Amino acid sequence: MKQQLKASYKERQRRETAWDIAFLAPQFIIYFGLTILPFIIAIPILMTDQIGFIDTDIDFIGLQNFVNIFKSPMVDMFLPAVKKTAIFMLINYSTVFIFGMTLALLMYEIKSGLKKPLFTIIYVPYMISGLGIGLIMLLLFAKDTGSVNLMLLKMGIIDKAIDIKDPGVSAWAFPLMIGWRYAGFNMAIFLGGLLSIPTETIDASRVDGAGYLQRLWHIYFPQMFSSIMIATVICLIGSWGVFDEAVGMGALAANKNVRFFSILLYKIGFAGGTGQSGTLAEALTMAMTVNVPLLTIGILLSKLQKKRQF
Amino acid sequence: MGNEKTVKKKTSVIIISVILILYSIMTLMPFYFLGVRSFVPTNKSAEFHLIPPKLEEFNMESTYGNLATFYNIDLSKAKKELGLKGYINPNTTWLQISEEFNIPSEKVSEYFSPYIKYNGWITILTDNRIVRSLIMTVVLTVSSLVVGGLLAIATGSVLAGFRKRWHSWIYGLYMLQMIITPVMIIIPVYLILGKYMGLANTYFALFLLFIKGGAIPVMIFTSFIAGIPSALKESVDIDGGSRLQYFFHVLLPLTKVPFATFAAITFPIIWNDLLQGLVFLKEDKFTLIPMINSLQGTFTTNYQAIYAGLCLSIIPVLIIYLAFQNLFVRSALSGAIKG
Repeated sequence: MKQQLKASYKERQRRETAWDIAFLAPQFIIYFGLTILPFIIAIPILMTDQIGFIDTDIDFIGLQNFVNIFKSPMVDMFLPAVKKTAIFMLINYSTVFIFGMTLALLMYEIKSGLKKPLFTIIYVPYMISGLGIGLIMLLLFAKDTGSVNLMLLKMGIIDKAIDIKDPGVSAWAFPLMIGWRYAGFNMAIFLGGLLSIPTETIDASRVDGAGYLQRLWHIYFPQMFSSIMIATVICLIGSWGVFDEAVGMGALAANKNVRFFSILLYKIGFAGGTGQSGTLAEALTMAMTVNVPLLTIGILLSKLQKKRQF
Repeated sequence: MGNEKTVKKKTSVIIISVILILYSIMTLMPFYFLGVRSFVPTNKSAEFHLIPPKLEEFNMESTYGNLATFYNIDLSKAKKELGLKGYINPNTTWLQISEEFNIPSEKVSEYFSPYIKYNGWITILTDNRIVRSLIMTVVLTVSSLVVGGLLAIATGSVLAGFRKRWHSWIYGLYMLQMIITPVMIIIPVYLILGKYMGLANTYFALFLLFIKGGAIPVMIFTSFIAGIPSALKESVDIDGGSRLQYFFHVLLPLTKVPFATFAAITFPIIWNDLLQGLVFLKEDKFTLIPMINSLQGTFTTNYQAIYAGLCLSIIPVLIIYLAFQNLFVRSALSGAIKG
């Protein structure tokens, strides 16, 4: 009798697992095939001289690609793009706080019915395509036709139009634009962190006579650690994946100031015949050289965030 | 003393509110200018317009050729509809043409004036490629949301509660998607879908990419389904119902709210996709955003048309966003807390 029960329990368990797999498999196969598998199939290609997607004469060349990307002519495309993206990442990270954190702290102080409409509006740019945001930036700040340029000139605030395609201007304007686009997104992350702080803690500090800055430093920031980590990871990784906004500003056409690492990968991989040298295997090598350390940092930071949380 | 403090607090709240309102106005301004510029003809684009300029009337003195050059008007279609035949010198004015072919000048100006007045929007809405890409994008987005949502609900229904150890491993793999950007893996993804599976230049390739799921859908459904009382599932078990019956008759009707949240978050991501559309489709099959990107090549200096096209791509997202803004605000805040 006992054995019979045990057998039927095992049978039930087996059926349960079979159902689990049946429900998970459809999406997981697609997910795995299009998100995890790409890393696996990239590994053998890294050691070949595959030129393009339809190359049939593929030879094994060991780790030569890792040497090639640090040699001329590849290095002249690779390192500038990496440098440009790294600088962008740093400025972009500061905009996470300039926009997102400031807005969240301000938003936290108001409790009126104004809060929701403001939130809704600040979140709007994040809903719009990155391409659209890039194009709108040109609409506002193009040298001869930019609406804001024309407005400021007419009002006499500036006497020379801002040229968004000037390298010096672009280096700042581009990350500011991204900061503006993600302002609502980052604000939501930080505001979530702020709202999860127990109000008793804040009230207690008020009673103790702590000023705003003291509260910020000793209560808000430490308690928001998890939110800050999430925003950091998303900004770090996202900066290297920036594509749409740059294309909107003409990165695939003539605008050299916004040719970030992602644009280089796209050009070598998919815009063949446009005078872009470099093989598919070399592009993949560049991608992995940058992305594997990036992913490792991302995973470590997320682990750190979880550890602090529990 | 206490009164002074409340007054001080009130003033600071007012100052903060004013700052936030100013920032919101600044945030909306670019979109306002975009709308205005979709009505500003190219020849006036070097002037500042706070509101759309007075609409231009059709000028009978303008030459035949200029209409094509400045306004992208399809002249062969115009010739057919106005009943003009033979070669027309691009330098002849419409006044001369109307006299020569004996067409009343009112008829000519009536025909052309909408093209001149609303050039941007007419150019966009009468362009077959753009209309086709809009329809395809709607079909692709809606089908991806429905199928992707169902698949993610199925995933969540298993993972909810993490009954087994390997369930949390699967969940962890889905969470990885948060730090894997599309650009990072686009080359090997193209190898898999385009080369190995032969899906290059098909909408199906994009469909698969849009329904693959990831951190946010799995998170939404897993946490929601974990909150459903297990008694519901047990009662189906006792009645001898299968997992499929439980899924379709009990679970699906309950997941309307999380599905709306999922759809609201995923809709703009699918609709706004540029990279994957560019990579997988050829120009004649482009979805809306890659199509908008190619407008700069098609209409070169017809800014009016480019901006009207951009408006066209933004308006549906804005409508959905405003309609579901409650869900957005709530999910944006709660999602951030859970991380």
